[in-house]
Amino acid sequence: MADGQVPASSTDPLVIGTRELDALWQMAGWDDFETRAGAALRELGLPGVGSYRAAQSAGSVTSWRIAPDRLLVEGAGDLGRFHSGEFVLLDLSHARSVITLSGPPARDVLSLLTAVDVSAAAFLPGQFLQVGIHGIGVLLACLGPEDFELFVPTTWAASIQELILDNAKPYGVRTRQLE
Amino acid sequence: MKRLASGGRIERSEKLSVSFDGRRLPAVRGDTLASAMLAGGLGTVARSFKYHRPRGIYSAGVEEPGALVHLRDGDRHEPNVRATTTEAFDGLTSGSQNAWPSLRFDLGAVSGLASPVLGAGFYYKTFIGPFRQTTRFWKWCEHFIRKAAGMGRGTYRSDPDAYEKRHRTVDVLVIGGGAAGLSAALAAGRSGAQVLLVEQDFALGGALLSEPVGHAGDAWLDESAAELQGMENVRILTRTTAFGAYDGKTFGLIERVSDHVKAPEAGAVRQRYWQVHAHRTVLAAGAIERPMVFGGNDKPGVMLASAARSYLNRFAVLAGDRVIVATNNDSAYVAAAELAGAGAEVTLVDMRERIGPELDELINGAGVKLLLGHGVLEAKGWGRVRHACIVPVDAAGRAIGQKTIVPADLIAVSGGWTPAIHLWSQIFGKPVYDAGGACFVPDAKPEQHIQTAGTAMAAASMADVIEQGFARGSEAASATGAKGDCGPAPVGLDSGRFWQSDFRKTWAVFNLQGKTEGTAFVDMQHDVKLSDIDQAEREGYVSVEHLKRYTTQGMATDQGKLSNLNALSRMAELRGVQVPDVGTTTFRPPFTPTTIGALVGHEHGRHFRPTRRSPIHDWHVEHGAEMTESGAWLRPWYYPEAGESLEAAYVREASHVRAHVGIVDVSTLGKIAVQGPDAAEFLNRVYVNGWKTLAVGRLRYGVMLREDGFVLDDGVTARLAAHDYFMSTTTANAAKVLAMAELMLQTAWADLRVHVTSVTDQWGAIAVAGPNARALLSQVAGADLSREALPNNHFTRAQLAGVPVRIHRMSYSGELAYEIYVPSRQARQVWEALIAAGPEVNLRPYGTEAMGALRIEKGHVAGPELDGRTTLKDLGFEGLASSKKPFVGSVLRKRDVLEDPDRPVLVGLEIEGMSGAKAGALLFPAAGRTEGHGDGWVSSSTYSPALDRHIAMGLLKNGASRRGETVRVVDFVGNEVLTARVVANHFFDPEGERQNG
Repeated sequence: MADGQVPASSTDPLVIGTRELDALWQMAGWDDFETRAGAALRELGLPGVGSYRAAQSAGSVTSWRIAPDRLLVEGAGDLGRFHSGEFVLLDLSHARSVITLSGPPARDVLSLLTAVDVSAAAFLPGQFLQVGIHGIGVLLACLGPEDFELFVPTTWAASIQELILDNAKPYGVRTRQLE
Repeated sequence: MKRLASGGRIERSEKLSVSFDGRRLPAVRGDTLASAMLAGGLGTVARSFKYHRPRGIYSAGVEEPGALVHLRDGDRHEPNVRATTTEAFDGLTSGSQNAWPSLRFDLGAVSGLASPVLGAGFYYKTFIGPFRQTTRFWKWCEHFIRKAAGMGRGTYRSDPDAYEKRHRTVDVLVIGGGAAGLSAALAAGRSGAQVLLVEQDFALGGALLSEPVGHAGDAWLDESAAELQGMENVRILTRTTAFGAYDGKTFGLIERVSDHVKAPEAGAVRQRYWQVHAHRTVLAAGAIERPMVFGGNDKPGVMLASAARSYLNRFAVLAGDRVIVATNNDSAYVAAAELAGAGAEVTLVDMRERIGPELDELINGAGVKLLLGHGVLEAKGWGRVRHACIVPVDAAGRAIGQKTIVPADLIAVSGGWTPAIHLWSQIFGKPVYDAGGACFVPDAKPEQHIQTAGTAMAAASMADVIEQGFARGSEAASATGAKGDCGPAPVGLDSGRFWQSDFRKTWAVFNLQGKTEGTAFVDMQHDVKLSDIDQAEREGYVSVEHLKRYTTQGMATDQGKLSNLNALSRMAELRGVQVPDVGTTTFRPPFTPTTIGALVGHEHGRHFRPTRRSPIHDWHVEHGAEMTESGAWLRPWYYPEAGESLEAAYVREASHVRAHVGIVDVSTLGKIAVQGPDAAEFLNRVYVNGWKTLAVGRLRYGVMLREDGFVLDDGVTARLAAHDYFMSTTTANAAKVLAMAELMLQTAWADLRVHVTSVTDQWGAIAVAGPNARALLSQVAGADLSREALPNNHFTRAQLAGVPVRIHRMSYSGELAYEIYVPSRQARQVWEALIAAGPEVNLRPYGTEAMGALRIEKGHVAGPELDGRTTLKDLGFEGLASSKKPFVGSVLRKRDVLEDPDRPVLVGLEIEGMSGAKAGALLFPAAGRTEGHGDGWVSSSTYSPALDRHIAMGLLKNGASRRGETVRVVDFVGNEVLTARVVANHFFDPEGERQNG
């Protein structure tokens, strides 16, 4: 379906939902960050620090490299054991809410929210982007051709979700709550 | 004027209900409002801006200066819409504007009698005194001038329609769906590039649509469009105007999704704003015909020759029966021939003395009477053109013989063409002058990401148009890496001669005395006359920037599309220079007027800006809190009981805290995790006081400065572990503090091993304050919170309702108080647990108003005192500053001006009487004049339940030595004067016995 064209019926609506975050931690360091973070991630089953576009996953654990000296890890439980003076860990499990978007109109709706190219050719499954939506920093993850997750700062999440719903109205919207 | 029985690109069988000023028009599918007006025989459709002169339809496109109408009524009322670009639809209602009591008889036309006086610079030179009484008279005149000013009337009703903003990234953007644009899109599309082709009209074709039906262009257009529509990598948007070119290869487009229907379908938007990022762009926006300037050239019945042709061939409307075609170039000849072929009696008046045999044959074959070496001196007729005065002219356009009166109901003019290069110029600046075409064209360089093609680049033939378009499209695609074969260029078309060959660059006609006869307009939308240009030159406003602003030429909604070049040419003549020496002004977006709604999209109402909500927000709303905006946050302002007013509620809440215990949501406080081996050093540099001795488990209050020495923010920082600190900031300055910290760590302090991370979202925060606070928390948390176990400025970890929390012993209210930090998603659970346990200790929630009253009673500074104008010394914090270490602001705070002993310093004010002081009110001595900025100002004000009186904090010159003095508190805005006694700012429990208990 070409972008901007709304389906005549709502048989293919946008499905929007939320998902409970499973232990989100930030790893940060300095000069030897890649060495220390790489070792920690390998212990968690991941290959290394990864790139700034591709998420890394192993089982329930996913990591995103969000800066030269920072990355986020979800699903590995309490990572406090890695914390040291030279390699700092920070629990952000409550700092983000996850909004899920899926369905044929999902990319179209995302193009209403962010200026970054989210076309199928440019934003592939497994990739992530750090974008601004309504002026708020959001980590946007592509899970599949029509599946996306938005990691939104918790206190902004309700407002962002309302904006998504209003933008998505022409497509029809179905809500879904995930565990 | 009449609709012809056949021809046109319209659907005659589909009649539409279209009206203007209550009169039904003979509109059919494919018409514009303008073509329907002409088919209905309407001559005058508007009144001009300044002189209220009758105006008709001058063009067939976006350049229209006169036919501005309003569309629809009620909450979809829209003023100042061009009839020429309004697509006719069933149910379209339109009306005239800028005329009273009617279009036909407009009282405003009396201003035209004053036109000799109301010339350029009238306001500047008239409304300037010279005496005090005349100034008052001019102010009185201003009231009436403002009422008369403007064009059209808006509505105050809410817009019922929705709009949206959409982003798209493409390889090649092609702007313009005429022959050049279609050729460019074909080349780029065939190569495999992702192409977006946009066309502002509702149909593709551009100038091809003005060719007679059956012309070879029809087949060419159909084939090209079909091929493009079959390409999956090509998207075509009609009814879409590219209005602006911006940095980063970004373009703004407005798609008129539903403007061609009465109202948008359910769920559909009215307009869509596209922000397109294009790797390469081909600008094929065509050219706009240039008017001729002569007396009465604004009368209904004068229009562009290309418009007359467009109405004839596209809309099957013959705009006149007795037509004068006035020109100085070849391009108008085919229009003359076609009008004659449709049955009009046509006289072609060409300022040139000779033409080529091809044109001669065309005209003779069509039965057009030709007058070479002649020009139209004046259009005459009451209300519209009835006849034209024609004179023989020399090469400069000056009459050299007697005038002849020729009956006419249409004067179709062509003074050349002006390429539409606006978007190129918005990015790349000044264009260059093409002497052959007497026009400005882009100063094209191969590396530019916008390349121009077709008549926008002054192409001299249709073959050139197609060839240029195809070449630019191919180059654009290649630049993006597309590797497909573009194939052959489309076959060329013949569409008559363009303007450049044998072009006589004279466009104004003067009488024997060298003047225009009657009023000759250059800018018809702003009623700027040729004489205004001359006046500007006489008075020294000779630069193009001054010309524009002094005369207002080019400043109307058409942005000088028809007038710019004629104005520049006239100024060049007067100054004795070439046109390029006069130059051009800067083209700025939007190319055509753009609705605010489209630019806003969904970002209005509750989406005007994002809203931030505490994790306990819903509880407050469910329990009747009145919410207030605090920056982007929504916070509980007060919890009214039984219809309480704000004043009654906050006084009750604050009293309750002092007497029992209160609970307030402080989750909005900024919270920053400071981590790393150099964290203490970082804090030392950021705060004025020292941090290296702060032990784990302790809190410390700190103040931080800006580099210029003024106070930036204050807050409490806790040491959680050896290299982990938890910094709190004020709600308002959280982002500013984090940004400052990141800036310093990435630049001047890159050697520090410190990470700062916002954890405002990670933690909810709850403050419990009052004499019963310890009892409540001890019970619910099951922790030892005695004075000994948890003294002031310490924290402990505990479990509260099964949730691990951190309890900070600190007070903002001056009461025994604690701040509880809870993981966000569990904050409501903890809050509710406290509320549930509350009745035993008489716990009540309180809001920000009561919180403010409590902190003012205590004399704590907050945002109003930390407004960027105060120093440590002003606020009485000088003693906090370490003398042993540098910190941000430590040097510049010592500037003489900030050490001046006369600077206003923080004081308390006991207000006398029953009224409270307004924040911002100025402080003056008890006696003397109240002029200027006084001795200081009120920063915070409240009614104090504890003291049972109004109090305030303020900044007062020499405040420390003026305690006991009475001052006046003057609110100039509210016109109120109070008196107050100057006291110390710590009104309540200055020794801190209650909070330290």
